[in-house]
Amino acid sequence: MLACSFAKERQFRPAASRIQVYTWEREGFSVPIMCQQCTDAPCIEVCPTNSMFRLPEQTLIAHNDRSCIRCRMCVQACPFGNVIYDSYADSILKCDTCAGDPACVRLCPTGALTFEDETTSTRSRKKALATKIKDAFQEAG
Amino acid sequence: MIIRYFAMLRNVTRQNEQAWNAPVSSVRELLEELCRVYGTEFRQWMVDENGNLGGLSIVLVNGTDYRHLGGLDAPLQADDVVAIFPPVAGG
Amino acid sequence: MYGWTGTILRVDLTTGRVTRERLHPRDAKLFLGARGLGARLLSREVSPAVDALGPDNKLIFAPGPLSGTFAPSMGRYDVITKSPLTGAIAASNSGGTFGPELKFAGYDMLVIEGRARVPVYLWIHNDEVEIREAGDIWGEMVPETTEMVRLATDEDARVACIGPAGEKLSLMANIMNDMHRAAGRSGVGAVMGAKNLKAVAVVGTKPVKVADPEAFEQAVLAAREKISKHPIGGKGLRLYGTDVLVNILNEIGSFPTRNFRDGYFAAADKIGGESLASEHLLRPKGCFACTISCGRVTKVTNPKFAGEGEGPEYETAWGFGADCGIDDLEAICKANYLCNELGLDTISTASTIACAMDMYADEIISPEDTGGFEIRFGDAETMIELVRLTGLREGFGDRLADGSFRLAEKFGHAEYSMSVKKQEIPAYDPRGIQGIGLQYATSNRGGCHVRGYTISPEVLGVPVKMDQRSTEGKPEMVIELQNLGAALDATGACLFTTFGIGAEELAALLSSVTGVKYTSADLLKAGERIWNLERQWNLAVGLTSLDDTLPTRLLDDPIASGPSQGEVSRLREMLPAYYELRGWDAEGIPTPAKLKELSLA
Repeated sequence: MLACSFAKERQFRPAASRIQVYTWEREGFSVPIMCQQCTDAPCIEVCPTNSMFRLPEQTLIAHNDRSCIRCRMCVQACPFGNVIYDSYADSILKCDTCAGDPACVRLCPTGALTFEDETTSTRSRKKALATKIKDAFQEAG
Repeated sequence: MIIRYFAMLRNVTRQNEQAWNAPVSSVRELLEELCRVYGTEFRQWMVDENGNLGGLSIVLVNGTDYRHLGGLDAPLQADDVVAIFPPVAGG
Repeated sequence: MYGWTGTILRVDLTTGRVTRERLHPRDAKLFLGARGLGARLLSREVSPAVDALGPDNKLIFAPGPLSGTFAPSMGRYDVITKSPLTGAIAASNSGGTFGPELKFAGYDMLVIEGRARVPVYLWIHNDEVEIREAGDIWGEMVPETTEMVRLATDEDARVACIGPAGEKLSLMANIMNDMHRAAGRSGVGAVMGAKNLKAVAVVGTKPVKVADPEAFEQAVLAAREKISKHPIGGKGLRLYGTDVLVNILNEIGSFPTRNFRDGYFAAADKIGGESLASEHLLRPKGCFACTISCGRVTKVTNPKFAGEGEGPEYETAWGFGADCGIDDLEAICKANYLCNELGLDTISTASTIACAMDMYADEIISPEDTGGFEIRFGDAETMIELVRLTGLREGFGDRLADGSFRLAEKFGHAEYSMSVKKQEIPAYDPRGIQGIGLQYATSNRGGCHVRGYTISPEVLGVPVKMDQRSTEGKPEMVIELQNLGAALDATGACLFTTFGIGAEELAALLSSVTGVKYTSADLLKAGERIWNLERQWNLAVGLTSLDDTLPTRLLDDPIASGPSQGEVSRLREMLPAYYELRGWDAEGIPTPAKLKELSLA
């Protein structure tokens, strides 16, 4: 969260981070939440000025600050709450993956955040499950 | 000789304590022998950034740090108790 | 201003007035922040003669200029006030996320003055500050208080609060933040309770600004790299936490056992970090912007001692373990959770119970005095019950609640209290480790290890290995660590960053964030300045060089068994050199020349 606001504004303002981390004190557990770059994205659908748009040939959704009229329809539309309206700077905040080199990933000390090619990510998960099935058969045999 | 292992070394050697009967005359000899027996997983904790034995690991001979007994050349007797700690802690 | 917010927030609980004032750039430059700025304000505005639990004492919450940035492990804050336990200046340091939130709300210091007529809590949301009645949370434990305050303010508010112990003015009461982190020592919780202040809740959305972002980012990445590469800062502390020290201290025979009757505890391994990791650790946890993650998230499922939370740390495991002759790790965890819930300092509480056990064993205390309890070394159930009674000031707990010195003195045997300036000394036996004894005796807040952590060189060999049994070079080393420690505290940095970086890197971080040029020498000078300022206060309170001492047991009675058997503390050999090297006279009073040199004249 600090890396994000610092990368974007050169100051530390976690309230303006495009990635938010929530912590449960009793259990000592933390979860990061960030833009899912949805297909059929609600934020793109509702934007009256086409300021929310998908970059050509990519899954990434970008935001054009100049054409944006701050109507905040995107803030209402996102089911995960991942578009933020920042009253301090009067702007819409949305993760743009820092041109392919996300600051949050770079600064995360434990590797809890990774920036992966989608096919690699899904393939590795499928293979992890496949490995479990393979092992189960081996144990039974 | 008895060797006591602590922290990560317990995972690497799979024991807390070990009776050691092979003769070793110095701390250096003992550490090199242990590195040979337990491999790189052990060695990584026992060396400094240049790969030399020592670094921040603590080796006690009967409760005294080897660095005050002559360093790596500190002599060892058959009835000594050696305690080995990898670099850990503060508080 | 950069790094600093430039604003001090004052809340007068007597009148309800809330005011803001500018932070003076000169004060900021000379005293940095946190412990340093707090000491500066306290010594200017509060008379050393004041009643620590009275309305004229002030309670200051102060983060540092680096708090709120991503400087690694540098988001800490201090609570500064006159200590009701020692009379000295207290600056209790804590981690978590509370300190940075004060910065995001726009404040370098929160100064609480006066006394509320009824129990209240403070709600700070950027520029909006409310004093609200706390009737329905007064009496609640720390976790419940935190949750209830959040329900009434903001679900993500950072909360610092006291538990029943602070409400009942126990001199060992602490202030807890983020539910599990403690501004532990010196009874700061009692000062908060005496002001009828139950909690402070903060939400901040403003920025912490950086003077030179490029240089700062470079300095941060460089510092992070060094800490990660350091075996202790990078791996060791995350894997085993501070409790791994148990076996190290025990194997060198300086692990205080049974109220310092001995220095070796045969069952030590059962309560050490290795056992904690394999039996109760759920995961490590770090504070704000911390990569070290020494915090332990733990749980005990055994119904007898069931509980969960953060800890135990080394001093806690030592205190409720070896110091009380107890080898049951689950009981120790339970005592730790209870202290966090009640809002009690674990070191002082454990040491006070050990003191009671010691006096009981020597028949100075009897079941008549305790209300029927038999208080024996090794009795875990009784120890836990005593923790509970102490936090609630019930029964014999009422006697324990004011610390070991007042307890022992009450029974005519003050020498059983293992304390310096009435604050209990922690988990390193100064008979086997000479340097830490000098630190205990001279620390400005009484018995304390963190302010001059000589264990690093004397036991761990960081940055170099010194012989713990020798007095040679110790005065110099203690002074340097005390000065560095004061500077570290004042910037908001955690002591554990010293496993990786030093004054050089800290100066680079501070300079690039504030835009004020600091060299490592400037930082150490600031630390020395803060140290001398605290010393002046203590002298004005009436503490003298006679108080720079250790319990007679540690000066005269040798360690009974183990590898350091036969050793005593040779403090008397080191103290004169310490005074001289500090530029103080033979009575330990800073000379006019020294004060002038430090801009304190």
